[in-house]
Amino acid sequence: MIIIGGKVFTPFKMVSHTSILVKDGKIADISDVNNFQKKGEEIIDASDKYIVPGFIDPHTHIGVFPLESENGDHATELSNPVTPQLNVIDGLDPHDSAFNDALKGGVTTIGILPGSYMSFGASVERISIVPGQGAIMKTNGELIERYAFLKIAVGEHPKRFLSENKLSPTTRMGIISSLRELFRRGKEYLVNSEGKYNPELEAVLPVLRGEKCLRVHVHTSRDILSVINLAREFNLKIVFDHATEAYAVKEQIGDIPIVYGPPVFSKRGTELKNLDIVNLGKMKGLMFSITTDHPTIPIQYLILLAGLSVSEGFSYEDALSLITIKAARVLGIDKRVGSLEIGKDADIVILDGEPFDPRTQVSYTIINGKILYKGE
Amino acid sequence: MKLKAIIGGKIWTGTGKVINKGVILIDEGKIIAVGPDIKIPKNADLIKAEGKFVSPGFIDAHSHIGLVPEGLDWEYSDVNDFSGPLTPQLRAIDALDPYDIAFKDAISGGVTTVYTGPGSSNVIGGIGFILKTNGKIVKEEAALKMALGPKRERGVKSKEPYPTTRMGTVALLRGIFITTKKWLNGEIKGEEEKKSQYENVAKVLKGELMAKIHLSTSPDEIRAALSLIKEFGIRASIDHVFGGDLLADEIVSSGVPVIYGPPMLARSYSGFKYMHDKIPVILDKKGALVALMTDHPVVPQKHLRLLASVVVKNGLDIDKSLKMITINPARILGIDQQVGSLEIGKDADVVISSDHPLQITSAIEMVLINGEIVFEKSILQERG
Repeated sequence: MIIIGGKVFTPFKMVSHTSILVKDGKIADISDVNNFQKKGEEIIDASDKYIVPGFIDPHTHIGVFPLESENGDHATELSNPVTPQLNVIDGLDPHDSAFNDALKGGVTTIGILPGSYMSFGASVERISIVPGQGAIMKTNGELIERYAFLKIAVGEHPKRFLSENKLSPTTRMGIISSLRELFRRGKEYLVNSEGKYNPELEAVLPVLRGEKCLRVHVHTSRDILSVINLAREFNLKIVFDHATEAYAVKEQIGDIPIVYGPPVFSKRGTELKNLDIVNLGKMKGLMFSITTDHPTIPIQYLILLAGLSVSEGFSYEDALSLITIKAARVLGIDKRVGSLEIGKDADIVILDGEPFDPRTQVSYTIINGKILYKGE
Repeated sequence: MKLKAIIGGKIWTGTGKVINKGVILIDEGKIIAVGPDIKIPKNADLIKAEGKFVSPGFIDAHSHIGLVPEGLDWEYSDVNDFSGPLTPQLRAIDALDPYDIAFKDAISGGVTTVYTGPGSSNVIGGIGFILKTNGKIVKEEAALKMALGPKRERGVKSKEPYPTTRMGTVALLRGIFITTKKWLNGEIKGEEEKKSQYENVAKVLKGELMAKIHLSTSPDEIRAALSLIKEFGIRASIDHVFGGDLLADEIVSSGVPVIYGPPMLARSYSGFKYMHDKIPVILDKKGALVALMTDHPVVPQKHLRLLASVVVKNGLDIDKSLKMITINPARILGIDQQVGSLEIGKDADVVISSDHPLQITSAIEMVLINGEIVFEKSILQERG
């Protein structure tokens, strides 16, 4: 396949009149079209279009809260607030129409997490302490990693979940203590599990070995600080999700990756009192990407959230990075996706106008060199 | 108040006219001149808007701002009162929290006028009002909120049972309309305790107050709403209007305006299956009068313009979409003599932005309400 450009936005730089050669699902070359052998190749004329990497949202609940679903919660296990052995793929609806919406919106790779989303309808979010394992998928259905990370949650939202279900613990202290207990038992199990099989602790081992990271549902700075301490205690790799008040504790966070957002949501309850799109500007210097938290914001509008960062002072390159290369880095798959570079997966989006203009539509969404969506 | 002149900007008046390098003259909070060749009085304070986009303040046609204050827990919500399915005697203004931090945010998003009112738990929820986001009340009684769809008891002692079906809801509405008519005609006596209910419903039947009819989810409710509106000859808007594309012709021929939204919701509930963000595009094309809503706090009010951008993303012309958050809601709410466009005699509610405000990359730099600067993007903010 040859994509004749066009403006190629990598997102590190924008180059005009540049074309892309795709071979075996990978980007084989990015160069002047005259350098390519055209014979026998599928040609896409994108000479008046923008070519960008497929978008990546590291934090969604696609397939877990299917559109038009029957009643019932598919992503929050009620039987126990600590369930590291659950994997989100086991409850996934591969026919959720959000996969199509994602393709139409240029989103090619997603993280899928168990646990709650920020429901517009309900008053306050609810989530258990350890909802389970999350996965990474391409939106064509390809599973990249089944157990990609383990999700945990701290702060007011698990507190709400616990109290409503008449479960304990009931305080922040209690939640951190439950997590500490899980990791302590896991450590012992790691050293000696002879004659035992504990599915919960088995699920924690990859985290304790540093092979998988913890994805931490967190909003306030106080909870961010507690989790930093806990992670240090057990030498765990962590990623902060939502991280509403991260801007207030930048020094302590240092280089811990963050999936920020969704940045458009009301200040629902005291837990979210500092949620504001203007804080995006204060996030500069942190290693972060942004999220729709689909279905909180429908996945196809990821590009609009990135565009909003420009109004908060980000450059176009930085804005596009928030939903491409930076998101790939947070997921640890930046060797494979997240930018238009030779050798990477040919996950390519062709746009009929400037990326952040709301009038712009997706002309093509390509995953692994295959056209998955073609606009009108 | 001193004379002000906004000079040099590209003025999007909201009347279909765009004036390049135009001037808006403001006196006593009102627009006294707007055009390309306006003589600027010497004593006027100048607001330089060269290279900027100047538009009317945005209007949110349906929200609950000030009634569910942001940053506070749910105990502070005063939107739904479960004392019974019919509570027309309630007035939202009695629960207003003027210190809701959402007002300041809304101003920074260019929103200057909003409708806010009771929620949809009751068949008749009460009377909503219109205010400027600086706190100034525009209309103390703006619309009587009605809500179709099945209702639920919430485990409190309600005065009367809640209807559990769509039929039940419509029957209850028709019943109170007919009873109120009879009460107006003196045919019913002795129901002193219901007088405060009848009085407010009567305002709608007499055409003094519009009805705001909320749809729960499905298009059959649009038919029910249209037939009630026709049967009793009331002024009304149909709000949310999910599934409106399926009944577009009926809506258009009825002449009833609609308020879509909020856009940007996922169809994560079975009830949302008729919702999609092309609905306002289709209805506009067919000729309906359409405005958008944030339904704040569902979507924060300051993001009203983002929701209009979402509708552009779904195929609507960018200027038509801007009308859906300026002049269209003003017309639907019956306040278009006062706000909604930049015309002589109207309130000087003005947004100055770095580009067309529905370009999501643009920044809102200044907002005026009644001629007063209520928001100015600081240089500090600009530097991040």
